[in-house]
Amino acid sequence: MGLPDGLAMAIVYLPDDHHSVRYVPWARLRKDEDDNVIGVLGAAFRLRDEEEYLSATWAEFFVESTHADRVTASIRAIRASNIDVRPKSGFAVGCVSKIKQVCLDDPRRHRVRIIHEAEPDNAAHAALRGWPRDNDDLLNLLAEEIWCDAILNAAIP
Amino acid sequence: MTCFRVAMSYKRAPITEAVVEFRFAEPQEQSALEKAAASLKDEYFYDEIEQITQFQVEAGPAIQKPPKVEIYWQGRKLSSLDRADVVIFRKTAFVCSRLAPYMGWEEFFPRIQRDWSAFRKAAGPIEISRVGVRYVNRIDIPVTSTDRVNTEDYLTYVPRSPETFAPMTQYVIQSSRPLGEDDLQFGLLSSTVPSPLINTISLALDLDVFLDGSIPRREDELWSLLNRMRDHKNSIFEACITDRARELFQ
Amino acid sequence: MTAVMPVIGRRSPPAYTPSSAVGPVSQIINAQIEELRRPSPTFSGKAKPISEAALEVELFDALLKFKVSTSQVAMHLDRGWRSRLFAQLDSLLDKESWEPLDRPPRLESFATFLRMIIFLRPQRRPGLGATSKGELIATWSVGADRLTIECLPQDLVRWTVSVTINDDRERAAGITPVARLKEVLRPYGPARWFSDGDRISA
Repeated sequence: MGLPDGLAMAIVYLPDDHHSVRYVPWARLRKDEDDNVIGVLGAAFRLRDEEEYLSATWAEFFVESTHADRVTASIRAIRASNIDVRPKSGFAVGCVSKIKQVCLDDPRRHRVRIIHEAEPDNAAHAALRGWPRDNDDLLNLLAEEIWCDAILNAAIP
Repeated sequence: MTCFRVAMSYKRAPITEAVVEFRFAEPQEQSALEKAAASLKDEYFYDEIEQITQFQVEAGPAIQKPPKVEIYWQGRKLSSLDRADVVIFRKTAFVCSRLAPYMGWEEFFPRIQRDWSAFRKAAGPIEISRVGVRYVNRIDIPVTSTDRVNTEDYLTYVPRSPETFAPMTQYVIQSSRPLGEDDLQFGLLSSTVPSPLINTISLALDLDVFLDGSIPRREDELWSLLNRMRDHKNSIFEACITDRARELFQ
Repeated sequence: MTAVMPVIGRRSPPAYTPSSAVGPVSQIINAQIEELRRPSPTFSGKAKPISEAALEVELFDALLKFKVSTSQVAMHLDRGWRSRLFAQLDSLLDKESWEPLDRPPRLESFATFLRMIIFLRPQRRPGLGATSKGELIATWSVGADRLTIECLPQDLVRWTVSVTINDDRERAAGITPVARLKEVLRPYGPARWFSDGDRISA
């Protein structure tokens, strides 16, 4: 997101009790030996080499009245974005405070900032900056206990 | 070679590939190969074109012309879903192959007959110049990091070296000779190959029983020949392995 | 015997060329024979693809190579185990499910996966996944007890475990050669994941 010089914009941090929704491709969903989805893999939260931050969608950006409806709205926003959402993919939902805390509790003490950074294709886009690289144990912990509420794409009309 | 050692049945036969090949005296028309492949489309999951791409570049200080690319159509390759059953219709040969797990001649042979019949129906009478029955085996020998493997503990077709030499790190030996029956010959190869398993040394034993020329024209005689070639292959295999190798296949 | 038949006074027999074969072991043998016959280095230009392979072609090609690679060790796998593994691979590498930005799983990673499976001999098949860089992921899960293994090239694996032992939650991670994986996992009781399932070999 580039801004003209001299023009400052207030940084909007996602409140602690809000939620991030992350797109998870089929290959990064945790499955049993019969391909039943049972969770999310830590690799779903790994930064690609060229990425500076981890991308997610801010659920409470949408004003629906229930958490489930806000998550559904987030999923629809992700579908409408440039992400090519595949039929068997899923989405991981996590609480902002828990994500930040578990990163800080790690021996490497990662200070993660979860910031609303609207993108042209997704107004609810959030950037997780200061995201850990090369800490697979932490990413697995996130996948297994924190950012682990998995919703299949096929379950959302 | 006249002794038929009893063919053993192994729970974990070391066969990585079994191949039957008929080479043609004259190249066949592409249309016949296409027709044969089309007639078998319900029997195989994959249907691919075999082709060779040749790429010619002129070197030198002068202004470079773009590289010249020529593609030569070779044939059609049909494979099962698990890629273990393969049949290839080439202009110069019919190749029927089974990769591991090998399910036995009783399963392989009818497929050879079926697919060859499909080819004959499409192409008409064909003069075969060479018939080959080739089995590629891999003997996997569990080892620890400090073990040396004496190849002759497992194979009888191995290289010989002076006792004063250090152990081999790799080898390849190959020979061909008459079988002594049916005008058949056989090629034999033994070598080290990279092992696909951990803590294992693997030795390849590649047997190819073939007939060059004087191929029966009648199909019943061709199948009878093929069965005899397979029996000879079994005898050769049993002659090339030791009881210690047999234990590995149980 | 080691004798060679003389051909004095007779025409030499035609050079022996073996019957065609398509499997991976025969390809290695062909390369070895070529090396034997041409001991001096010769120029052999390799044809380059004219254009980048489309994703579908890459996935198709990867699946082909994986299945052919599995045939190399099929004699060490139960037939049912193998066919169900293939079904999982078909699902993982399905073009409709594949993330377009991901690199297809590499053969080097799959080779490590196969060698690991044969070495560990788990009765239960793992769940399968893949990283964006083309590394296969094998997972076993029993309740909250999780084992995740990323298969890297050259027989290295990146593993993580999270288990409950004596009511305490333990987590561990590391990068290990496959040959050491049994020792590394032993403290975590790997039987909890590997037993009670389809047998890997008869």
